[in-house]
Amino acid sequence: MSDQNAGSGSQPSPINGADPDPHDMIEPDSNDAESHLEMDAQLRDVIDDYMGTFKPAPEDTAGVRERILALVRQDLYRGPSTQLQTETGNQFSISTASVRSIVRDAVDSVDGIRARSVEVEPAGDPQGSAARVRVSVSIRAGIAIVTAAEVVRRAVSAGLVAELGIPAVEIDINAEDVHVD
Amino acid sequence: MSSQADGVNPNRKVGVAPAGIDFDELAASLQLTESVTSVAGVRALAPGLRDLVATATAKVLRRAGGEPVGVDVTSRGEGVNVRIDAHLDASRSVAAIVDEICAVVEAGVATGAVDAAGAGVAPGQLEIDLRVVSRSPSSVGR
Repeated sequence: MSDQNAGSGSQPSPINGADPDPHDMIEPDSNDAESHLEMDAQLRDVIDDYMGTFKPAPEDTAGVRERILALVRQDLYRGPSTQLQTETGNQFSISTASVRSIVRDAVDSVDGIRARSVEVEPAGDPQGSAARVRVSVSIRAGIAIVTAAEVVRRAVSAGLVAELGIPAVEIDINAEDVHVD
Repeated sequence: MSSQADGVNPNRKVGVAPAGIDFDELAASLQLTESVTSVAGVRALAPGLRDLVATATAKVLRRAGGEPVGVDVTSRGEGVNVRIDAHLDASRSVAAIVDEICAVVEAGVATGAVDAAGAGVAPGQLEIDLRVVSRSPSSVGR
């Protein structure tokens, strides 16, 4: 089974002096291409703004805009993020890897249970005030699944509130493997 | 370009805040950076978009870049946008830290941390774009 927790995809290829095609720089493994396009548009605005005040020498101008864009994208890319909001209504985004890590730690804290893939989506009303969690686990042979699932739910729920400050409205657990320690 | 060669980031402008007052985005960014990094649970701030562009430009053109700051304050349209990319530690819940960061930024605006730079910014004209880049399990330097 593939572990879906890595999440961030590959990094763009390094700059070699040639002007890269902007379309080639989109993360091939990313599942949020729309946000990448939005980020690219935002970056281009910033670069245009910058170039409005910064006038490079004519010999430096060949492809400079795309080279800057490529470098910034490399520095900026930090993987997908999850949009949430606090109880008091302050909106924020957090790297999805950080949220998954909180869930994974909670699952792994339960004796005999190992987290595999973890998915966390914004939920609640207003959207993002809570989280919906789907986690697949491996269970040690001999452990009662129904009982263990309830323990995992309590651990994940408590972990999200304590670490993230966001409650879970739904925690789906898929027992997909049995292991022997 | 001389200003960048001197270590000054030219990608900073004196904009016009909604009240029509001259607005020094760099000064406001520096002031809010200091306030936000003092919030318990904030381990570090990542450089903002404009600083990344300035640094990338310096690399492409092989020139010295300016000192990056962590909070990007920009005046746009009818309000002021404050963009923060933060690295947190695990000393408190993310939501608690986010609430305090927002409170610090709003208080900074209300009490003049941004206003000191010349911007007449009311809290209702303030948009905070906060991203938690990472959350480390242990506190560093606290």
